Amino acid sequence: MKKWICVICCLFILTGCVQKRIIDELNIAVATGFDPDTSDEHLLKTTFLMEIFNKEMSVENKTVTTTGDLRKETLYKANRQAPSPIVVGGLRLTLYNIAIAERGLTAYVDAYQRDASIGKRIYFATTDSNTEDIFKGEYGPQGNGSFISDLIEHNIDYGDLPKTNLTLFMRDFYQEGKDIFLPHIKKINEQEIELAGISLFKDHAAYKILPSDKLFYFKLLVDRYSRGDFSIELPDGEKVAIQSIHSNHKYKLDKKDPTNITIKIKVQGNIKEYSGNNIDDKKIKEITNFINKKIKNECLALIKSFQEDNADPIGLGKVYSTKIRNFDYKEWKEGYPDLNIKVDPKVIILDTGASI
Amino acid sequence: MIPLSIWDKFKKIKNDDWKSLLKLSTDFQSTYYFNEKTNERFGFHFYATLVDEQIIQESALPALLTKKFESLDDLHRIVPIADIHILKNPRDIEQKLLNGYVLVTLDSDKNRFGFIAAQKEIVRSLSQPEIEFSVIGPKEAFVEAIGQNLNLIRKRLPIKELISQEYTVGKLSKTKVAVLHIEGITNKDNVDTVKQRIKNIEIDTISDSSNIVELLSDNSNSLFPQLLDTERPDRVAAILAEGKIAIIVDGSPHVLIAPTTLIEFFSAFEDYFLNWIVATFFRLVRFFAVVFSVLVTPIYVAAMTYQYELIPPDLLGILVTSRRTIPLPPILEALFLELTIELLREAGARLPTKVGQTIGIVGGIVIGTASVEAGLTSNVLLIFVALGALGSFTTPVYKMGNTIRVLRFPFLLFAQFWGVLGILFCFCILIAHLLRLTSLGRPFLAPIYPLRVADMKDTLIRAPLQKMYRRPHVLRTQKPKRFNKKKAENPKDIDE
Repeated sequence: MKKWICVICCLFILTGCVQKRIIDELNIAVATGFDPDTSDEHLLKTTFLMEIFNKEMSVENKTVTTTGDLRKETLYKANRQAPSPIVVGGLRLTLYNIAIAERGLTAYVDAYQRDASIGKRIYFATTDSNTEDIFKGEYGPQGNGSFISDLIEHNIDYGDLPKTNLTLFMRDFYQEGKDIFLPHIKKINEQEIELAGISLFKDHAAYKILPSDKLFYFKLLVDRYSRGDFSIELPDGEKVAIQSIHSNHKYKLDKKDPTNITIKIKVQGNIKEYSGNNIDDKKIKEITNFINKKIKNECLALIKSFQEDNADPIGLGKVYSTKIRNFDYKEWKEGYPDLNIKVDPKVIILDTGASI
Repeated sequence: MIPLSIWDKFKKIKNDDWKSLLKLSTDFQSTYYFNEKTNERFGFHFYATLVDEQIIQESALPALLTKKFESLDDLHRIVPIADIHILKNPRDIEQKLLNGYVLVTLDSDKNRFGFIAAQKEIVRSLSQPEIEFSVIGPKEAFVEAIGQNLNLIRKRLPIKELISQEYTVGKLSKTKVAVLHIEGITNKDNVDTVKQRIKNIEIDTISDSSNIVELLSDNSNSLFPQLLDTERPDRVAAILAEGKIAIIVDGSPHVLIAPTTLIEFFSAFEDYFLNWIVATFFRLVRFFAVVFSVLVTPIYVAAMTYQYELIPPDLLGILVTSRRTIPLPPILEALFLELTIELLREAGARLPTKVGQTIGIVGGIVIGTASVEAGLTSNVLLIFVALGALGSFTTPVYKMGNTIRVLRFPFLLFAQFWGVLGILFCFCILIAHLLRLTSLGRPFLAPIYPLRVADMKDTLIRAPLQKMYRRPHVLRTQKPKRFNKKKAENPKDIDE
């Protein structure tokens, strides 16, 4: 009985220890953006984007911009401009000005791994322009934060963007043998925004932007397709569109000489549109061969450029470290530009449409 | 009724004087007649309200008047009634008279007393089950008379192994309690436990079988009923065959079943009349409804007060806009609505049926919409509370439904104090309590804990009848197998 009285007393005494955050008395930030501080006084210039819900369920974008040296510092400074406390538990997106990214992201990711209230499936992205400008546009009725994160999400699911989120970012950020990459967002005008490609990083700092027309080949190398689309111009001038692409890749090391590595890519898809006449077996073979060659060339060109830049966004170092005993990363990194990397694509056309 | 102390007075009076006390009751009657053949005077003494006068007038009296009646032993010969006793001890008079016997005295045989059974049975006719109504299946329900209830069960289990043992409980009410089990199947320990506990009951009156539930429970401080009560004779018959014990209480239309498990409270007997896939689906729906009913408002309160991170982004707008104008914190909002629903239920239960229906409509529609329009509660919560209330009504056993309704209030308080962590804590307490709970010493959470995979065939799912060829392990029956599995699984058609 005494035990129970103790427990019940504790329950009632300890109730005040949990901080109450009632949902309608909060300013829930959906996105944050980091820009270089123009006055150079502080390390960070942070923009918080809040969604204000109107009675008719429409969303208003509200931004607050502050400067500081720590992320939390900018947060409590931002509270001076807000009617109710700004909380970051509802974050869906964080944008980095490319100028910040080029300086290196190390200083900016710490808060994200320490704050338990932040979801681990939020998106990071880089952008050319000032993040405050991006958040101040009017892109869609769902609010800018949701708009941009939805844009990234569906491009991962159905488009050419390799899978990325906070968990994967953190894994690549801290592990040896893979360089990070982030989606790159570009503002076209006040109403429009687009996914311009991905920003490639080397040693935690952005160095190059891969344009979106190369993304298909990049995704083949680092991720797999479950429902992709792809169109290509054939040598005879006709165009063909391929849908429902499934792909996966495998890395094969040469057992005798591990500096030879083959990336086997398997692509399956259906032809959904063809600008020429009938497609027969011969034509399919022709198309398959051409796409094979195209994938091989484009992927090799990508890999070559990575090797020249000494960056490894594909994660080959990770592949080697799992396959070789007593793997020495530093030694491998020195030999990385001279690796003999082969690409072996295998394209399978499953179907050419209903009426032949 | 005659006061208890009457027996003390009996001791003092002489054999001939026993009438003087009984005569204090106005419905006690004594009349004297003379036999036509022997001209002997004999007396009839009975409680007019307890005996069937038709039996006296048409069977007993004509025979005693016209046929030769010399000694009390002649009663057996001349009266066409089987239940006749001839006793010497005046102690028995009180009990026999109150049980509806007619006392026959003969002037020439003053030391002995003859008793003729002439009980008047006031019984109501069989009606449809109201609480455990089923669309398919038998439509008979138990009534208040123990004899009739026993008849309903015996008709369904016409075997001599069905044993019924009767006890009298209650110093004043003298309620008849019958314990039923099937000899050779039911575990002897269980039967002995029930008998022992019934014998040990020390109480003055028993009004209903619910009193027996309370007195027989292993833990009477628990929210959970530990004996299943049912008004369906078919269910009792099926459960006796499973190796459990039934307890019939005179004056109660609910028969008790022991030992029972938590899972059993969520299985409607109609499940056995439906296709097993359909029945399984309904059972799963019921379990989901109960869990939903207990947890939905606490989770709302926890998410609204502490863990806003849990709310999906798409839902955030709806919740924030619905709560913006509400002056109350989430807990008061939730308590307000939950208590409103409880009030409606309670008012509906206390009022006559026709008025009760109106209350439901007035309460549901008017109070619900009005409180949302007035800005006292959010419409999202109104939906949750209403669905939660609906979920608690899906439990097939009424008493468990009540338990579920009460259960959500501690959860609500813990959600307010500690958020999701509090809900978890409350859940741990609940699980710990359920783990400790027993019904007649058998684990209440079986077969989930202790895990008996073979018994799972009749829990969350309802397996095909032929697959349930074993009696539940947890009952430790004397005959673990119900029927031959191989014969059941390979029926032969006539052309094979």
